[in-house]
Amino acid sequence: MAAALARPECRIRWLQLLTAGYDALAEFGLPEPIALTGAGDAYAPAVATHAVALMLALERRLLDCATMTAQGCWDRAMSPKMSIPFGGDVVIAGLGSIGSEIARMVRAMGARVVALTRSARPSPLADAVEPLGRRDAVLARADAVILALPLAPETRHMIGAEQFALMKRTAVLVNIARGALIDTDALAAALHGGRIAGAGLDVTDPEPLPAGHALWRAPNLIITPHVAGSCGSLGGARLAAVAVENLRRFTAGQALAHPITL
Amino acid sequence: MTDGVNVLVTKSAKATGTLSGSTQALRALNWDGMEKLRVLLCASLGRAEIARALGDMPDVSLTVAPDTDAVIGALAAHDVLMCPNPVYTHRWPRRLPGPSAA
Repeated sequence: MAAALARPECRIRWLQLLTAGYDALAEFGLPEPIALTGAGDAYAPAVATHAVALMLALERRLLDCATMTAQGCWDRAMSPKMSIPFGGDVVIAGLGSIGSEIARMVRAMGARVVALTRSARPSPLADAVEPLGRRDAVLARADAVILALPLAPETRHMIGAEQFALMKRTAVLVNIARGALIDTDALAAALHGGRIAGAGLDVTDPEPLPAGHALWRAPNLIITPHVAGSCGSLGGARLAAVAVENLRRFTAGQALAHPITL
Repeated sequence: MTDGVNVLVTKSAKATGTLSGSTQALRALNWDGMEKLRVLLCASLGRAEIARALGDMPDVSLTVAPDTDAVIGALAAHDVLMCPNPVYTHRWPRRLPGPSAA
């Protein structure tokens, strides 16, 4: 593929990604004459909803309830461990289109939104915005942590054993971005050791998670198979709008929407 | 693309239960005869809706290729290929010189 794209007769000038992530391209690059564009905010409502659903399922101990339902068991033993976002600190790492939508949703539930971003630019959607360098201090106060950052050298394994050691034992962790943001072995150890209250993952590292992996047996863990962006025909229609608008611009010789700089 | 845009899409992998035709085609082809191709649209979700919307655009002609052979056979006549993600999971070297530098 690389050789083909570099051939003089190759006339490809634009690659439209209709995916939320672009880490493979960020890692491996693209020939310079080819413009790269992304999906904009097409996935934001679905992925944000999924992230909040995972957070709420963990805080409301719905895994325990599902297990008891399957067993025909009425037991309120888990009720002291139930929590809600209201009044707590929800840390959202990444405040792009998806992170912003998550912020809007959890704020509506009465949570204090603390954003952790690369730029640390203030945002009306967050009560506080901190730079990535303040990660450990921010995590120590968090009641819930939601990862919505691109995978990059500075974000790979941004949550590892050191960070789990700092977090509240009652905190929950949600990842709807890329699996390698979390040190998987450290997460498995933290869950098995009760270091945090639970985790919800739509992405894993590796992905798919192999059979027999320690994470499959971890307590208070919900794994969904990288489906956060799915929302039926509505999602397709949102992606189609991006593709159509950019193809119109391309044929008209206009600047493309949602450019990605690698 | 002054004479209209020719878009090539394949039936989805979901429909066939196999790797989609364009995935296989991109793995198999050697890029010969693809000089007309200008655009890659990489979509893993919503390809049916995207294809319908593209097909409704004025001056856009949509071709649906049912299998790998059809994709390879039709590529030479198309400006745009809608393909799934594997097209960019190939390991492109960083800072690969483009056609202008070749």
